[in-house]
Amino acid sequence: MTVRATIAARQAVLAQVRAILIDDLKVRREPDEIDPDTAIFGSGLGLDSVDAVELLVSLESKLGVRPPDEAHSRVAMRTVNTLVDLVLQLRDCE
Amino acid sequence: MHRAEHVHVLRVEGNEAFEFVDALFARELYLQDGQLLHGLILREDATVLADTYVARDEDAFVLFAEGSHDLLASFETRLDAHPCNATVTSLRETHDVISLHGPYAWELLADFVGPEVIGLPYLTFFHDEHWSCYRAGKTGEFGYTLVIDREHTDALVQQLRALGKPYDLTDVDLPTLDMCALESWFYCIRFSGLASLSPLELQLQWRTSRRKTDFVGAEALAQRRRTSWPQLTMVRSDSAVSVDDRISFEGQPIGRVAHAAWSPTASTWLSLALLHPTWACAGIDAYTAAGVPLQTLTPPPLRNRSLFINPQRHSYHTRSDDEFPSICPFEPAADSTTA
Repeated sequence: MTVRATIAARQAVLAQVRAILIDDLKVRREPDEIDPDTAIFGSGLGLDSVDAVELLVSLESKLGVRPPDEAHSRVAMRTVNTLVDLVLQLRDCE
Repeated sequence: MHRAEHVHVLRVEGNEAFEFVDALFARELYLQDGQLLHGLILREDATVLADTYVARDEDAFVLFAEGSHDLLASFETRLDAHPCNATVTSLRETHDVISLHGPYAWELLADFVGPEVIGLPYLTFFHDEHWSCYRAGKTGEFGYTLVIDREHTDALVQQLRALGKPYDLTDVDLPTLDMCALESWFYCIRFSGLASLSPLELQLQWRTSRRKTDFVGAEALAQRRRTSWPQLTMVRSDSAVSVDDRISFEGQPIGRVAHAAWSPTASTWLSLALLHPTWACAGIDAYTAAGVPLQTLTPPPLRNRSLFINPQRHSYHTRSDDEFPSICPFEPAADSTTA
């Protein structure tokens, strides 16, 4: 994949993840206020463990992806960009 | 363990303590008693004056600030210019600050305080008779700052050292903590190449609030938002790069190196690249800086061990029985001799 195509694919998924955070998880930010490398839980966007369940549900229902195990979830849900990585990785595996 | 001489600790009290702190803080100051909030104090031009935690201690606020050399003087000047019913005192005149870091820092603290400290949530604090403990840090999940009545510092440190022996407790210096911050993708105000950047470029918008319009630097920040802004991006390379090296793609400049350092843990060069928004993207290995190939990463570049530690199940004493993902997700740099 070319650099431009890689960037475009990533930006598209980033937009989808931002939309999930705002629409489903009720993060009170505009999309461009959610920096890609912002932590999702604790400091950062301030989501909690209850939100984590909802986030997993939204990822599966809207993006068709599910982390394969808990260890992957923990790493994948660290930041907005790690979620993007997970989506791209799982889509590549399909 | 680190003696945090570089941290200002300022206590703001009075009927208008909230108003005083709120006017400086770039995000909304929603805090309950016993909680901390991580934020920024900006200059008028929206660059960062101080990297700050604010703690609410009943009706008072305690600020932990890194950055400006004379923050107390800045606050006093502000009080002169905008008088209000608030007083600011530096706790450094009567207290010392010690920080504890590491994936098992909670366990050492539990030996010192009692097992209940294991349940202390991130960004909360409590008081003991001669010291206070704030859970916050820039090296991972388990960082604790102790603010100690100076008369009791030596005894407390001695006690911590004795309890710390089974944990291989080690003194670390500030450059070591700053390297941990880089490896864990925590903002470090001491990286001089970041001094001209605002929260937008630094990817610290989460520490500001667009809805809040009345704080120092608000106008300049709003002004910067009107156009697109370059973005700080984590980068690694097998060879050394330097601050201000131009970053190129297909022969065209797309950014510059803002900070660079050799990571002994990762055995690679880690850098912070300020990239044009079109090109600020993880997973690209086509950029160069002064001819050195770069790989953009999704930070944090290392898999911080503290992310995988569960105090209910793990212990430093039995760590050899536990399996964790490797801290370093990539191969060591081929050119590691340049470190």
